[in-house]
Amino acid sequence: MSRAQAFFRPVPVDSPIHRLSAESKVVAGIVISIGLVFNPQWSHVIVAFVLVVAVFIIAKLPTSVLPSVPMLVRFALIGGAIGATASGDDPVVVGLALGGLLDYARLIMVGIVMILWAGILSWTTGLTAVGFAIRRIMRPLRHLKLPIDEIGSVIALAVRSLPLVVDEVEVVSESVSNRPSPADLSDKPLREAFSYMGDMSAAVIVGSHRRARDLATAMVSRGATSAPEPHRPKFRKIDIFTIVAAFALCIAAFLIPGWPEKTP
Amino acid sequence: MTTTASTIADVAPPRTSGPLDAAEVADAAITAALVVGLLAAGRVLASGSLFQVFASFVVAVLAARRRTRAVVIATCAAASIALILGGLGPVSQAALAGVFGWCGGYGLKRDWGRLRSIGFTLLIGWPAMAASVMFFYPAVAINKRLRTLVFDNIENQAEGFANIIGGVGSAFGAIGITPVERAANWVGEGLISISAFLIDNWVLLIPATELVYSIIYAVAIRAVGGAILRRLERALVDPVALSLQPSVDASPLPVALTGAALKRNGVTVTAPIELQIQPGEHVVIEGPNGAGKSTLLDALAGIDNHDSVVRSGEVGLGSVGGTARVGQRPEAQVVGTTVEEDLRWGLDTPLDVEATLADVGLSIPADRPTSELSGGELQRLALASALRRQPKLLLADEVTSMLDPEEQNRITTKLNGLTTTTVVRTTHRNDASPTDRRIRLTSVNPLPTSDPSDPHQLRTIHSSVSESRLLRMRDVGFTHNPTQPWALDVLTGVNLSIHRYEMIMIEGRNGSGKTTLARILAGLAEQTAGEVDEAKGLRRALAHQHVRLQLLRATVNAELHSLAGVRTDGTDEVSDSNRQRTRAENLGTSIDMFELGHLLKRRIDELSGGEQRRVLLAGLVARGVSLLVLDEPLAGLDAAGRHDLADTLDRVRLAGTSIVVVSHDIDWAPPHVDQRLRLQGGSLHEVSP
Repeated sequence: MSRAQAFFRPVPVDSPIHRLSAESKVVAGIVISIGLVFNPQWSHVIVAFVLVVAVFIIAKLPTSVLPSVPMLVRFALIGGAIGATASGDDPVVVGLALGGLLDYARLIMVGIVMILWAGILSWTTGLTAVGFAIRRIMRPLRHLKLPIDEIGSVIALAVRSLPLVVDEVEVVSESVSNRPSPADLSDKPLREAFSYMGDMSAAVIVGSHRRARDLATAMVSRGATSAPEPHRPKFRKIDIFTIVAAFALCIAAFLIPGWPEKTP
Repeated sequence: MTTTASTIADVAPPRTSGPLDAAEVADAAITAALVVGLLAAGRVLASGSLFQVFASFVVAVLAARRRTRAVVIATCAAASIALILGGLGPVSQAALAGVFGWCGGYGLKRDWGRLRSIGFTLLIGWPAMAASVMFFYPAVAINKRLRTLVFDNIENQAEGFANIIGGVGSAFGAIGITPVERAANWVGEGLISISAFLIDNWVLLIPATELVYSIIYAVAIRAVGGAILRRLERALVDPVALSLQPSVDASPLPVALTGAALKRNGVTVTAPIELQIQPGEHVVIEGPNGAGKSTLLDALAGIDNHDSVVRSGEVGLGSVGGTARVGQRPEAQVVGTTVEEDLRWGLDTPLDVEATLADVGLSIPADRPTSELSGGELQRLALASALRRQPKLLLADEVTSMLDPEEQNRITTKLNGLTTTTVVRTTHRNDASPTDRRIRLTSVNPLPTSDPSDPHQLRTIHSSVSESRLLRMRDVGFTHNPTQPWALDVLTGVNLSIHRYEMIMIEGRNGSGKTTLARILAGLAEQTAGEVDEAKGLRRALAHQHVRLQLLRATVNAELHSLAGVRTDGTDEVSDSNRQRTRAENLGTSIDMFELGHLLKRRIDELSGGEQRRVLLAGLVARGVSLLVLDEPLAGLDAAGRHDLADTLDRVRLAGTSIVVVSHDIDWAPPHVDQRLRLQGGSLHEVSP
């Protein structure tokens, strides 16, 4: 099973977050991220961080779902922390200047919050449900004469093809890494590598266009280009509460300047 | 054979405005999925920007083949999915892939010259890129607070490392090595002034950097996008137009073919056909592969060759009481992700899943993922969907090819018993009943037969393995995602020894861990328990179900050389090393053994599926692979395809390579299999022959 399939897999437990409708999860995630990016002051970052960790716990997600951080990224993070600490900005605590490190921590936390929102969505919601949720969220935009139904069908189809497509990309890259390097086989290694890249892309694209054609023929034979809508959980009070709360937080993030205005 | 000028209506997208048709929706969806997949892969792997360029190739191909509307919709879809999965950063990446891809693809579509095309891409792409970086990426331009945070961090990093370097420098100074101290101070000051320069001039610097990136994008799309497009043209996937033809009052019969020759992809595949089908008839179409049986059915379904067919009313493909079509390759007939969703697709009315499935002799749970079904199960599921529509006209293309004889008879009898439905079916078995009307098609483009007349010579490829036992697995276990909540034990205690010249068949249901076992056998995955001992110098390889994905070069010759690790250019000069010479000899032997000599100049995409597999295996054998694992080679093969596979496997074995065939199809095994095993409950069991 590929990495992609593991990522898009809901954790099989029952929790209030799992029962929340996909729409409210998607909307809340986006709205809160926007608020945070607009105003990444310490107070806001901490509120968002506490919130996302709380949701993670309420969703009964074990910490083992968290993906492991690649070694390269770990080194980069540690190096960045060292550099930031050495900058010697105020405040100085026990002889160590922590100002730079604090700024650094704030930036990293903004990133973590965003990744966790996406993670929680994928660990508590099925792939098909997410596709349909996006479609329903965008439905009001139809009144602007935008081709929302088409975008919606394309999103739903794309989301369901994603694991297969990622698997195909994996097969191709595995096949590349398993054969002798093209650079060894030619006197013009750069040119050879370039043409190799074109061939590789062609292999993936030819394969996926064949798949698209099969899909189109099969859909035409069934007389519909979109999947039947699945039974979805009823939109409950808790969903309305979630969305209202998310918007309230976002507006608050815009209005309240936050503390401290600049890390001293 | 008559050849008429190809009609544009069949191959060119006829729509210039209005909503996307089914083919455009499918192309846009697969493109969006590829873009998101590539951006995600770029985030996990280090070479992110490479994948981003690749994503724009994908869009360029869509833009060159389809309307701008499809590109815009695909880009919106990719951006929406990216927003949910990754936040604002990936959104701007997806949008940029869309903009650059569209510009490049538009130039390719219009056949513009290189300079014009690159200039156009820069004109639109550069401002878009600079704007996206300034506005979206860290949302810096409009958002002073975030900008301050990002810039403060850059400044801090510069100061910090300057301090560290300065500290090291003064330590050297303290022990009297002043040049080092001076150099350190100089580097430190340099760092600080560079960061200050970057921060002070960001308004100018960002667009300047993005101009450089934009040029790289534009040139790469022009060069590689064009090459990909030429490959696609030769791969015979023309951008067809496929529209939904729903109808509440369909009247597909009587239908007549007016005596035109039918075409597929602009190539004439049948002699002129004159034919009338009346309501209530049962028609069986016979003929060899490539005679145009499927093309005839697609013409009757209103998918292709519209000008050659005359019918009394609307075809109503997929509508209740209209026309139903079940095509040939089972996995391409199914659209739903679960059995129930597939049955409901396009006909969302009350449904008794169990009864509907029982009607075609199936008993599988409604929530079973369709990806886990066998070929025979998929065929019957597609047939159930078709019959659910109570069609007036049923078009069935080889729909029993994956069933065992008993089931084949059952389904054929069922189809013959339909009274209100006109059935037109193709078959390569001689199973027409006496009451059927039989139509025989002959091939206008006879395929070259490559039936090996002379017995294969036993010419073993030089192998690097001396032991007779290639591989031994002892108590091998495998757990998926061992530390994660959805951890799953797929293999618990697998014991297996593989010797030279052996062919082993491993059967098992989908989800039984076959693919994992195949990957461990091929050395692509590592077991989580137990031991795998391999002979010294053993080379292993896995042949995937979709062979096409493993063939990377454009022509058969280039592909074989790449697989075998032999240079194609100036062989004499560079084959000085012994290794090169051995490899070249092996490749020659392999080309003879697999009878590929006459195909060397052909393009990979012109080959049949069986020929593609032969090329892959020949290349791997030439490279000295002594253990070859084939994952699901039987999927989608008809009887002729199986015969061809068995023949290819025999050749592989004659070259001295051992084979493991992994399959979910338990109805058929290649002849000459030494051992048949079944994977069940995480371990292997002997199958009595």
